[in-house]
Amino acid sequence: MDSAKPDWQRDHALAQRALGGDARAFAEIVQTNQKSVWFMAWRMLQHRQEAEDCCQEVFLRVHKSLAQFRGDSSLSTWIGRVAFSVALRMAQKRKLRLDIPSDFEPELAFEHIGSGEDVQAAHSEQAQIETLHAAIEQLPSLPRTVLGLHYRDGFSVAEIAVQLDCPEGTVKSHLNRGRSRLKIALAHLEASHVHA
Amino acid sequence: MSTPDPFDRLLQQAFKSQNLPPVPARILATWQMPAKSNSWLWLLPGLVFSLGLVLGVALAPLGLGAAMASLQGVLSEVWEQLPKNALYWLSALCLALIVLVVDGLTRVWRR
Repeated sequence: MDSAKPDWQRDHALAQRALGGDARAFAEIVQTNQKSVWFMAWRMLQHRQEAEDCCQEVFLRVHKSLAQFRGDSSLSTWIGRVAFSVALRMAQKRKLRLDIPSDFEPELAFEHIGSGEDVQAAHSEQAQIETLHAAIEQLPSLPRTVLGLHYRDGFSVAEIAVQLDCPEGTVKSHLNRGRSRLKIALAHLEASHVHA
Repeated sequence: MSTPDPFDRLLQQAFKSQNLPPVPARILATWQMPAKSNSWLWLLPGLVFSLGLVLGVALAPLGLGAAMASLQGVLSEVWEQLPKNALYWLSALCLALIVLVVDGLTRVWRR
């Protein structure tokens, strides 16, 4: 039975069936991965129609190049890599803000606002989460995508590095700068309550 | 054992509770096989036509006499002309038959 097989073996068998022309096997691949591809496209592009076009192109590419899947990583990581490259190209074409500027220094902003832990103690969790939701929307595409892959989809730094086709250090840098940005958003929330 | 950073926990909650738009149904629909229909469905139009014809003839005595008489008139006129243009009629009939058979076979092979 399929569910008894390890993930990589199941991925490989599914890819082989799809390569052999089994349309149902490919539909299964789409069904399993459509959510993660859609979230990746949405985080990168923040535009419904473009995210949908991106998903269609991703699965078209996956269909064309499935023979290149060697099973070194899971099928979902491999598809994530295809999704990221398509979404990145579309984001570049739209001239979207991709990254946080390299001269961004979060420490300066914390000097007169307080530490992250103070912020958490001071406000209700719901207010903090709402502030974070708004701050996530304001993040540039890359850190928003990396943070989403890590905190929502549960991918490790190494897996994200494979998907983004970059060193792990770059992923960590996106994570740290994104986290700092979000911490500042919470600090502003605290400051607004102090002044009120 | 290291304690997880409270800010990390908060971020996880924020990302998991984020209200992202649902996956459009069209994405999967594009890659799903079309619903399988009966292979002999292509015979349906011909069948409906034949049934209509039979019904028409059967119902004629029940008050459609005038319509049938005029139809008979037209048909007899066509029938009279038929020998003159027999070749054209025959080729048109053959052509229609070939189109019908090729179309039907293509549909059956595609499944």
